[in-house]
Amino acid sequence: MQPERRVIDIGEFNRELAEILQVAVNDLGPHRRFIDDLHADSLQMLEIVALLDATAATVPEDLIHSWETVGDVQHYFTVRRAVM
Amino acid sequence: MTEITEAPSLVGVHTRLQAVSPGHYEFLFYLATDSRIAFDWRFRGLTPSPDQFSAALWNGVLAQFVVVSAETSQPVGHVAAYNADLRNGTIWMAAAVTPDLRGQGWPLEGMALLVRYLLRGWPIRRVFMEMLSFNDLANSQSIRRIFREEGRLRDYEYFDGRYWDKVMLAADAGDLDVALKRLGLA
Repeated sequence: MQPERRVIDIGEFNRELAEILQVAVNDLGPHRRFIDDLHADSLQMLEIVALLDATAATVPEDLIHSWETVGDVQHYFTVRRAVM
Repeated sequence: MTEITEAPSLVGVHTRLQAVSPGHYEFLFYLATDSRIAFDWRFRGLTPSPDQFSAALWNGVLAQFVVVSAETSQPVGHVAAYNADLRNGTIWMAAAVTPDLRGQGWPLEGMALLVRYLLRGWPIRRVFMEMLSFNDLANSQSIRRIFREEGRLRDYEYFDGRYWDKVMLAADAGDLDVALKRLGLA
């Protein structure tokens, strides 16, 4: 199944990411770690993956395994949006 | 004119659901007895015989599935709906994820697929879950946006040197529909 895609910019992406993580947008520094700093749980990680699926490209499993920081997903969003 | 309807899909973006069959028993036995999750799952650390295991697997079950990775077709979890009370529109739901993938989120898509399957297939108005308080979802902010706490049995179950609360959560169908939309699965 392919998700329906919608077009948003990095500002909107960060706003939605902040809403999922229940933090202020200003707290989304690229070096902040999902688990250790933002205490993200598995349902929040699912929502982040779904956000990327819908706004950038379907995320491969291996990539999700390697993500540690906010910067990792912002980079994926930016790069994949550029080739859409 | 006849209205055309579709059966609820068991396919998501990252996972799909397969109805449990005997071919899955080895994986489900591993999932139920792996020490990293066994005390938070169905047998609470017991190691049942194969006969006991296969019989208990279907106790009170309305529908249950193995969650399979859409990318690799490998099993990554187990979701079950049980203790259905269709007169009153309530049901209980449980989910377990392969320990190696815990915390990564995407296998939980299988839980969302089960919710969609239940809401499309039966007149369910409320879904319950129970978990011990050391489970990260019991205290998850995000799950509390969907589920509310309806009960807490304090110091109820022993594990790792102390007693833990058993937490009962409930979500109404409307709230679950909103959550499915957020995940692009409505």
